[in-house]
Amino acid sequence: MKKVYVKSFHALSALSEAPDLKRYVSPIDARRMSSIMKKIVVTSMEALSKAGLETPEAVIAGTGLGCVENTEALLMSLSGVSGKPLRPTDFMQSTHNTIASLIGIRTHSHGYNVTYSHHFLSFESALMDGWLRVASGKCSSALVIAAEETSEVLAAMLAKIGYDGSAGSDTAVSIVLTDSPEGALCELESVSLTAPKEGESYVDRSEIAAKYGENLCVTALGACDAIEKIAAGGSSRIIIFNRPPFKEGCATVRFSALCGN
Amino acid sequence: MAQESFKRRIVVTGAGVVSAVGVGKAETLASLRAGCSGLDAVKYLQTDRTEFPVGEVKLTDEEMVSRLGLDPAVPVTRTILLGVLALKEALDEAGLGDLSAVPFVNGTTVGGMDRSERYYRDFISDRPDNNEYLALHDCGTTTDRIASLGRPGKIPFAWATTISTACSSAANALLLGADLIRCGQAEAVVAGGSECLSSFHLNGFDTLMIVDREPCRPFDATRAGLNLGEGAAFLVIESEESALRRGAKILAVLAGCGNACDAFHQTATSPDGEGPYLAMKQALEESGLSPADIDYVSAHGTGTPNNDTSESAAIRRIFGENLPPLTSAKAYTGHTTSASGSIEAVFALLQLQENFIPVSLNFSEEDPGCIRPYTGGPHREIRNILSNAFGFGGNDSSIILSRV
Repeated sequence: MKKVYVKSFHALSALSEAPDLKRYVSPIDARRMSSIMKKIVVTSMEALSKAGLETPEAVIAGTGLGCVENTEALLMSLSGVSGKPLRPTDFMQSTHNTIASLIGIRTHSHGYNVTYSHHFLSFESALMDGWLRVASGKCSSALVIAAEETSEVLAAMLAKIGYDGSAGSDTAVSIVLTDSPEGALCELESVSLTAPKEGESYVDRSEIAAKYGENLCVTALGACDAIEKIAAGGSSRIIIFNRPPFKEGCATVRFSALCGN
Repeated sequence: MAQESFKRRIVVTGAGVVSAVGVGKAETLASLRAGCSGLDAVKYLQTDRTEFPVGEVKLTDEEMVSRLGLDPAVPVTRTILLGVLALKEALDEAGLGDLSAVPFVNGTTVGGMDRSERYYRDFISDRPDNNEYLALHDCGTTTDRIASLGRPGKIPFAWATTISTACSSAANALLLGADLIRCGQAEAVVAGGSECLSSFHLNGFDTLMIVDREPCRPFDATRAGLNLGEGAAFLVIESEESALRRGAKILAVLAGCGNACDAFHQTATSPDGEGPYLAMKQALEESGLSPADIDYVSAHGTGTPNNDTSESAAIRRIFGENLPPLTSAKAYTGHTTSASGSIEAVFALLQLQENFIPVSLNFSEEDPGCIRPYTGGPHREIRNILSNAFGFGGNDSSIILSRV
């Protein structure tokens, strides 16, 4: 298996400044796209541009709930609450793969294109697949996206089933993986949907959520912090342990510094 | 060593299927052989859109709960129930025993949407009514609950994840499973998909004006759209060494998979079928087979004017003049959306075992822009089958199953 490297990333979180949407989204597109879609376009184009890449060989997205604004409009219509007919846009955008599909179209990427939707583990599922693509030599680059949209209605709903997501905000993260250490920020050693080994020290999901606010893909922000810290020489190895607050499963992601090559 | 493992043969040692043409492989085989469609008027889904024929699994939720021996007091969704029916059949056949090292990959798009659209009024209220269904809404929870065979609690698998690429979800689950084995990340994987019919499907696809009020007519000149269906199928796939080591019966070989993005439009396919072409080409390359080795194509063939034309164009680009016989299962089951990739993989498995091709239903008039589907008559021995599953957003996948 080949080694896998992180070439670049771009993240938008509650702590980020408002992005310059106009740079990547035309006024016509802006009218059609939900706010989370616009953010995903920004993070993906920024990450690709930092990586010096126009067309990634794979686009892999992870999103637990997809485009919430469109899904809410869809459910308001289907349940008869809004009394409005269903709009084709809301139907199309409420399928989770609309994110990776849009980025595929925008980057003219005819390569591997897959979307994961596994609640709190969507990001790690996508990252694991990206790692697999590059490690197996099937792709030399992969764009991995994590995105979650929030809304007041959704936060209230989630609170009813014991998940306090009210402090979170829309989150979009794009990470470019490559098979070359040249210009890379760090190595992505491994991604598994299992717990860390006995005795391994790790950054826990709860620490990341304390910084950014609870969000289904908050560990993607933790991953970006880890990559940045390693790239700046502040650490040689960081392991992130994602233990979802109330769902089955967990994930472990290991980043390490480039080893002198 | 790693390079060697990339060449590992992936075999199928268990399969389970549920669709409008039958619950389990025996009923399914009988329907496909007899040319019996499962399309009918809406009977089980709560909807006022009764003008569309649909391919429903002929069981109520209550009947499935009872058949599976689940507690009727514990809330569950139809996607979960269909999934558990198929998963149990696959696991029983494979006899893996301990699943603690086996990943589970499920493909779904709607998850618990059938309940969410029914109870959304409660969800957005302050009342706790139907909160249980709110917790079952998302795709990942649907997968976890199928993995735990319908009961809340710990899953018996090493881990689980969910692929959501619309109508190619289950095909991509098989692809991920094969890659996990090939890259030495697992010896065996259970992969497939589950999707129940919902208003999300009926009303949603209708906004795109591609749902036919008559039974669908794939590749026919008069085709006017798709019919929606539902179902689930899971396959137990493993390395050949693993299957031989534990003396499991090998049902077929998963010879190759391909995934490509059409990168053309959010809901339509490009006229030259670039994504479908690339997906089929990749699957062929991975299998080491040439187009001439393919004895039958299980087309995506939804019956929409757009899909069947572009799929035909892509198939012609791959096979040239020597087209293998082709049919679409959609006239039997309706479009089972996220589950179609694995449902049709199980159909292919049955065809390899029994050496037959189901005749094309509802075909009467040839379309010069489309391939003429198989309607009966002598055919070659069925050794290699190419099966297509294409999704919204240009998520196109192909898999090749071969006789042992």
